[in-house]
Parts: sequence; structure tokens; C-alpha cells
Amino acid sequence: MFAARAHGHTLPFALAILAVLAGLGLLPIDQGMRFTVVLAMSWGIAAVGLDLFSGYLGLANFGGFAFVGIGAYGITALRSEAHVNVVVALLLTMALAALLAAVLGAAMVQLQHFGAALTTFFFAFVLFNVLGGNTLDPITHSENGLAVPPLSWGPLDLTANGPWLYWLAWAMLLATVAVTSNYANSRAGRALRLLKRSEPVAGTLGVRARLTKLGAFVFSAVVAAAAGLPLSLALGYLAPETFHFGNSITLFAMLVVGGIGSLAGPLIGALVFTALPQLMQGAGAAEALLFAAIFLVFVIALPDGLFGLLDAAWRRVPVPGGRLGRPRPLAAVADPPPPVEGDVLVAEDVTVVFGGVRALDGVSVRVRGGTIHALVGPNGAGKTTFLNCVSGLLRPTGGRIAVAGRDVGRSRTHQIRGMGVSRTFQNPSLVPDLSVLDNVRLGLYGSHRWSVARDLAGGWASRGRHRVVDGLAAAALERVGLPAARWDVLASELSLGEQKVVDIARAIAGGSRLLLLDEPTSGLGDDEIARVADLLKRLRTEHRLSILVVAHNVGFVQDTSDTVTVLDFGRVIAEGEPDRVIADPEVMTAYLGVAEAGAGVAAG
Amino acid sequence: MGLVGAAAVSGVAVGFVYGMLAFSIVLLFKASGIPNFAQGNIATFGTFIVYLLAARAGLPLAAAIGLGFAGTAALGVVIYLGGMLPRGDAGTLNLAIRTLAIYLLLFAVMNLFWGVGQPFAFPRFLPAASMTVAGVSVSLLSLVTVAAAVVLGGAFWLLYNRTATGLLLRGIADRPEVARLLGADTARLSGLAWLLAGLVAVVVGLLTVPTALLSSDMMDSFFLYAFTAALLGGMTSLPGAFVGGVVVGVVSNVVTVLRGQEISILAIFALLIVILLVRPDGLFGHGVVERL
Repeated sequence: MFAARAHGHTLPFALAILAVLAGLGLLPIDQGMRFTVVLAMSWGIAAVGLDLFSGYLGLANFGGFAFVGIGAYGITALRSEAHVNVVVALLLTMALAALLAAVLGAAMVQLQHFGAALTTFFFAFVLFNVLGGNTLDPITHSENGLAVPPLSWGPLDLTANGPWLYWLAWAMLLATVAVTSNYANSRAGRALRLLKRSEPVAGTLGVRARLTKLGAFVFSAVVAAAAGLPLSLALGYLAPETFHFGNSITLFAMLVVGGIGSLAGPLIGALVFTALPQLMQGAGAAEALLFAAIFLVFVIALPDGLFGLLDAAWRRVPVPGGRLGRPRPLAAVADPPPPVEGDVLVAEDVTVVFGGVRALDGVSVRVRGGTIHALVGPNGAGKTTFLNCVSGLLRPTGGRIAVAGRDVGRSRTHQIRGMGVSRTFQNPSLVPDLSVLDNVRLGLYGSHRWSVARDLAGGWASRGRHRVVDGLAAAALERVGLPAARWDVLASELSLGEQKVVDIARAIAGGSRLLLLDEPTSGLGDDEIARVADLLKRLRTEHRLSILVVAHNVGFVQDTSDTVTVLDFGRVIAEGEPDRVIADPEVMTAYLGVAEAGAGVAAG
Repeated sequence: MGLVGAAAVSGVAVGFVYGMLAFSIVLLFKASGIPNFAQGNIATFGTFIVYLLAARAGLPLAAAIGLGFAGTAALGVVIYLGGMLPRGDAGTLNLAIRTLAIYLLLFAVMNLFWGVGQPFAFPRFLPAASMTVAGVSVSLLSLVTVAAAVVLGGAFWLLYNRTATGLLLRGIADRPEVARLLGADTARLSGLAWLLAGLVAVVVGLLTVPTALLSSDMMDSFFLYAFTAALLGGMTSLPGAFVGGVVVGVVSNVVTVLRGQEISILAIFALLIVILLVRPDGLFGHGVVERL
């Protein structure tokens, strides 16, 4: 994934740039300069939209400009050939871009490694060839290109030389910045950043990974297609060469140089990359060399881009009382699903085979409602594999798992989260560039109904829901005992102990009936371990939460657990009450590495 | 057999060119974990060196080719030292983007210094002979291409299976920390992989120019096809790269004969999407398990 961090709440920066552009539009600047800024703003629209996909989700898209080409050609062809009204043409073309992106994206979001990078690059190559080829000749006129009909709305002249095209491009850029910022800072935007961090973790928090990624890709494509309108009007003439696949790399370079994952950065990048050629009049190939060199230097030395420099300078200015608002007051308390009488988890004969290895070999575990059950065993015994089966990250080869009497069967991770199963991971997978509170909000992803339209519309439309979610997140943080002063800190600044506690808060925020904890004490000091033990006992007695905890520390297990299962080489070798189980000779041998029973002392 | 048969046969030959380019991409990917988007332009760059020395400076072709190999190997090492080694732990995507910047950089250098008047006809170094086998005409170039692929494949097989360095090259991308614990100098091994990739690239370029004119953008489609071939082969399998290359070569040549160039590009794009959906690990690759 991309090394650069994503930034939240960068709208003021982007609006400041837009204000400067508005001022520039009011000045009596010459025609050439106006033209350049219109081009820059068109590129800026596409760059800001692309930033959502590449900056926040962290996937490469080396074919972003292809969708600008689809937009420009689509809108122009509809206007000149079919004589469609420009607004209708814009909307139809955006719909076409959405459709194409959905088809391409449906394949792309399933790809691993750099599949996305290659397919998008290839797509831009295909589009360039199709625009210059014969297949779509009746629409694209192949190498001859398309003349863009002039446009005016009443007295407003929107042709390349008209004064109002500048304001059309500006207004579209403003709209793009506003909508993209809402997207990036909404629930969906936080989910993108979580997916960037870890897809399995996102799944266990109820995020539908493929759909969420697809949404971001389609969004970027639709925004890029819209950029085709001001671009086509400014150019007055479209040729395949204008949408050469190399331009998609230039678009990506704008993101990197400007500062990926910041919205304002790509805007800066678009302005810089479009304005420089104007300053270096006609240098052609030398200019391309300079751009490539700048691009390379930024990727290596300044992966956070110009925005990163700006942000670092800004952070050095001290602000009394912190930059974000004070922690929100508690407004609501999570209402967990009613505690289960009897067994909350019944796993029978669960078997997992990796290649020739039986990672789990007929493991049966029962967890009674409202109790803490520990899963112990040496490294490689299959403890995490078992948790993965329960949370749906791994499909057992055989056996049966039921939660609160319902068969987990072939359910996907986010559906299992919906049954009230939540978990933490051995390495706390918090999103490093989100605040503690935002990270806990992610835990509420699956448990409340949302609408993408409201997310895009921004704060007002989803205000009521935000209040509920903020209250639940704050309640979870209070419950795990993290001081309110730490709620607005970025997760990357937390100690390991704090991270583990926030991870637990995130897991219980959405209302949990079975909490799976993978080594909540590993790497912690004695004080911190004692604090985690107290927390688990409190969750059990005060909130009747059922907990299945993987642990190494014998003292911790004896202190917290009601029952224990011991695994060794994928098999259950003992189960029952902690004190009795730990005294078992076979357990002594396997778990403590003691050859003769009684020779060693069970250490805390 | 007719036209389609001939297209299929020449497709096998061009497929070996894609295969060799794919091979160089895979070799680098295995050794350094970097998907190199600049590999096609490195091939073009090396071919330009040979062209300039032979056609402009008047050197004998053999000497020009020798210097072309040396120069491109050096280019590979320079790219590694200057572009990949500094802050080399920035993550795969960051490194992949660097190779994209290098793609642009090499392209700009070739256009700026050598591009005036391109495309150029490369001096002929193979007679335009062909023979007829089972009713299908096979060019000498096709035979030389297949022979070059066999020699290259054999040489790398020996390197990987018979030398300690080769063994380390196969595995350091998967487990760099293990390689380091075993005492391997991973930086030196990665540099070596870039050097080897540069050498293979020149072979690819030289086998391309007898049928195509030399220009700075001549490898664009080759490069995408080669990457498709590499993914088809599993991205980590060296023989898979050749198999993938031949599949891509045959499909693209046959579709070009039947439906034209434009549709053939679409066909390869469709092939790429289908492979990635149906077998994301390719024909010969193996999946990677993420540790949580």
C-alpha cells in the first residue's frame, strides 16, 4: 500500500486555493493565462476525484485520464451528433462512465498485488487505441477528431474565449472538492482508510470490502468524466492524442507531487503541472524530462508531496487547546444484543487443512454466555486459525460453528459481525492516520443504516446519525477507560497498551455479544496486563459480554478465565477450569515445555 | 493452414519476445518485489544505444551490440542505485510508482536527445530468409527468437539451480529478512537482478527491431502484453512467463489477422481481466497468506 498518510478535514486548504482561483478570475488576466487556468482546473477536478481512490483507499489507478477522455468525447458527441442539451449530455456521459467503471471495477477490486495498477494502465492504452481506431469511427471520427460545438447559456458565453467558461470550471471544481471532502470524511471515507490498512480487519468490522472499493472507483471515474466538459469546451477540438495514455501517468504524478490523500494536494499538483509549461514556453521534450525528474524526486524523497510540506509547517504552529474540538459528550449508550442463556458459541469438530498441514484437527469449543473462555497453546497450535474460522475470515474444511444458536455456515465476515461477533487482532490494526475516536467510529460501520447520498451531501444531512454514532463511540471509549484527553490523538501516536485498549473499544462499540480477543496482553508490561484483565472482568460482569480470549500469559488466564481450552498441533489436549487444566501433565509438557510434570512451576 | 496458421506460427515467435520481456519483469519481481513498469523502455533505451553506435558512430554491429549490453546493464544498476535503493522500504506501491516515473524519464530522454526524425530503420543484422515447414512459412527471425529464448531460459535455469547466488535471487523478495539472516547482501543481489533484467531487455529490443521501426514508444504495447504474460504465468514463475508470452502472442496475432489490430488489443485486455478474475495467481503462481 502507498506509504503516504491520508489527511482528514483538509477542506479549508482546498477552499483557500479555490478562493485564490476566484480572485485570479476577477483580475484582468490575458487570454492565454485564462486558458491555462481553465485547463488546470479541469485536470484538478479529475485529480481530486482520483485522490479518493488512490489517496484514501491506497490503490493505484494509472488510467484515470481515460475517464476524462470518455467524458470529453461522450459529451461532445452527444452535443454535436445527437444535438442533446449540454446538461443532459453531461449527465448521460457521467452515467456511461459509471457503468464502464462498474464493469471494470468489479473485476479490479478483486485483484491483488498491482493488478489494479496494470489493468487501469492497460485500460487507458485501450481507450487511446479505440479513439484513434475504426470501431467507434462514426462517433469519434478516428484520427480526424471531433470539433466541439460552441456553447452559451443565454448571455453567458461558455466557449474557450468566453469569460464564463472560467467560472463554469471553477464552480465544477468547487462542487468536486466539496463532495469529495464529504466522501473522504464520512463513514465511507473512513472505511476506505481502514481497507487501506487491512482488508480482513475491515471485514470483521462489518465493511463490505468489494462494494466499498467499487464505490470509490466509480466515484473517481464519474468525477473524471465530468472534468471532460470544461476541458472539451476549452480545447474546442478533441483528438485521440489529447487522451494519450501517458496523460494518465501525468494525472497520477499531479497527485504524488501535490500530496496524495489530501484533496488540496492534488489541486496544487494540477495547477503546478499545468502552469509550468506555460512558463517554459515551447520547451517540449525538455519540459517532459523536467516533469519526469520532479515526479521521481517526489516519489522517493517527498512521498507526502507539497501538501505534506505545508501540513508539517502548519503543525509546527502551536494552538492552545488542540486543533480539533473537545471530545463530544456522551449522548447514548450502546444497547448490546441481549445476553445469551446457554452457549453463545458452539464449535464442533472444526477442521482446517492448509495444503498437507492440518492446522485444526477436529476442534470443539463451547463458550457459555456471560463467561470468559481462554484459548491457550504454544505457537502454531491453531489458536488464531480458530478465531479466523469463527469470524469468517477462513472457511473451515470441515465441522460446524454456531453463534447464539445460529449456524455461521458460509456467512461472510460482515454478516458474522452482524450476528454480534466482533474481534481484535494480535497486532492492533488501527488506522494510523485517523484519530482514536474516528477509529472507534469504524466499529459502528455495520450496525447502523447509512446512505451514500447523505454522506456525499455532507454534515447537515446526516447530523442526527452522527450524534448517535459519536455518543456510542464515546461510550465505548469510556467503558474501556481511556482518558478523554487521548480521544483526539492520532492512532499512530498511541502506546501499544493504548492501541490494544482502543482496539477493544472499537470491537464493542457496535454492540457485541461474543468478543474474540487475539492476545490482548502480548507485548504489554505487568501493569498494563492487570488493567486489561480488570477490563475483561468488568465487561463480563457489568455488561454480560461473552469473551473468547487467546492468551499466553498463565497468570492472566488464571485471573480472568472461567474456562480454558488448550490446543496443541491443532488438537484439543485439555479443557475445563483454569487451575485444573494448567496442572494437567500433558498441558505442562506441551504448553510450558516441561518434560516432567511437577518439575516446573507455572509462572505468572 | 493458410493465413491464420501463419499468424499463429509467427505469434509463437513474437510470443517468445513477449515471454522474454515478461521473464525479465518476473526475474526482477522475484528478486526485489518490484513490478517494473519501465522495463519496456529500458529495452528501447538499450536498442537506441546499439543503433546510435552502429548507424551514427559507424562502429561494427557486433561491437555496438556488445556496448549496448554493457550500457543497458549499467543503466539497470544506475536505476536501482538511484531510484530504488534510497528509502527502499517505502512499500511496493511507492516503488512501482517510481518505475512509472522512470518510464517517463527514459521516454523523455530518448525523445529529447535521439528522437528527432524517428522512427528509424535499424541496420539489418539478419537476412530476411524464411523456410516452409508443413505448408507454413517460418522466418529466420522467428527461429532465432525461439533459439534465443531457449538459450536464455537455459542460462537462467543453470544460474538459478546450480549457483548459490541464483538460489538467493529466486527467493529474496519472498523472505528478505531470511535472506539477510543467511548472510546475503540483499542490496547487491537486487542490483544484480536489475543488471540481468537490463541484459535481457536488450535481447528483446534487438529481436523487435527487424520487424518494427525503432522509436521511443515502440515498446508500449509490448510492455503491456509482456506484463499480461507475466501475470498469466503467475508473476513468480519464470517458465510461466514464456508460456504466458506464447499465449498472448498467438491470441494477439490470430485476432489481428481475423479482426484487425484494434480488436486484438481489446482481446488481450479481456484476456488480462479474465485471468485475474479466474486465476488471480496465474497458471503457475501460488497464493500468499496474509498474517494477521
